[in-house]
Amino acid sequence: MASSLEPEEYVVLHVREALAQDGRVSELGLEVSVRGGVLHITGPVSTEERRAAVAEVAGEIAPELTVANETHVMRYSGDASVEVLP
Amino acid sequence: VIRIAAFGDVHVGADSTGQLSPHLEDIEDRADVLLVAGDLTKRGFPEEAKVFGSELAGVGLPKVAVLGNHDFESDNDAEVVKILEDCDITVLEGESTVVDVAGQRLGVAGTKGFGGGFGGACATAFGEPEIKAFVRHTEGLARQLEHALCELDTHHKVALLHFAPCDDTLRGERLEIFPFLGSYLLGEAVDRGGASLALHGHAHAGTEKGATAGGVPVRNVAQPVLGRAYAVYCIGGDGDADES
Repeated sequence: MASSLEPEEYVVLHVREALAQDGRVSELGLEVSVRGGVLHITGPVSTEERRAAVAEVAGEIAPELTVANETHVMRYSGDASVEVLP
Repeated sequence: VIRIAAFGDVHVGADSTGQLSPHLEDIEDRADVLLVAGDLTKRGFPEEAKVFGSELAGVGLPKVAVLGNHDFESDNDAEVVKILEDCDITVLEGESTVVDVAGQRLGVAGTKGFGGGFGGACATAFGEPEIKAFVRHTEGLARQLEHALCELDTHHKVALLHFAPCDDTLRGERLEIFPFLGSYLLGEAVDRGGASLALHGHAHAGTEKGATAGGVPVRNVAQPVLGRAYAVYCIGGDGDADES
């Protein structure tokens, strides 16, 4: 858990680390930022379960901040693309 | 023409059952071989590898994969490879395989690859043993990839990686993390080995299309980049551009 006295920049980094290392999420590419006391997390995740876990893990690391879970579950759109290479 | 279906970074977990397979149902009509560019699993647990294998069970094509960094997270990579091989998925690490497709022979050489960076912003094997180990790991994998490609005597050769062999396909990622996303050493191996195409994943915020310094087409097939289940690349035709 991060201290409420800790600079927000470090809190952001600890949340990023936790989202990568915590087995409930294991996403390395999520963007984390703090604006106006709100922790914003964006980027794609693979399943609804992992999206729910993002808020859970972030809330555990930074309980003093409101978490805005702006991640989205990746959806496949349309057919496969086809490219003919020379 | 050889039609190569490819994707990477599906990150299958116990919560992923049934998510991928519906999107692969008609893949045999669209492609001749399926290549998977690593990060098959969320954390490299055997149970996750079994889910991945079952998601691909209905794919009636030759299936070839490399592992990604996620597949090493729980230190079960050897068991993961065995489970995948039992599911009829050939897993390459510094090796190659040959697939007979429509009267042509397609050679695929694969490695996970590793980081180190690109032109002017590379790690160097100098100083502490830890940084030497980092760079030498990539050097070793690149050497194995080059050797595996050179050994192939096929109509076409494809290099299958998880980490990127060029920085073109990293556009969109933060510049600061490029050294953790790939290495020019892998691109050099692709060029020296005479590959027709290199495929990789790992860079979810990157760009699909690029090329090595030697001009070999490179495609980032991470699913978040493709925005679809897989892409198909046709090689060995007359070269007329035709994209859809």
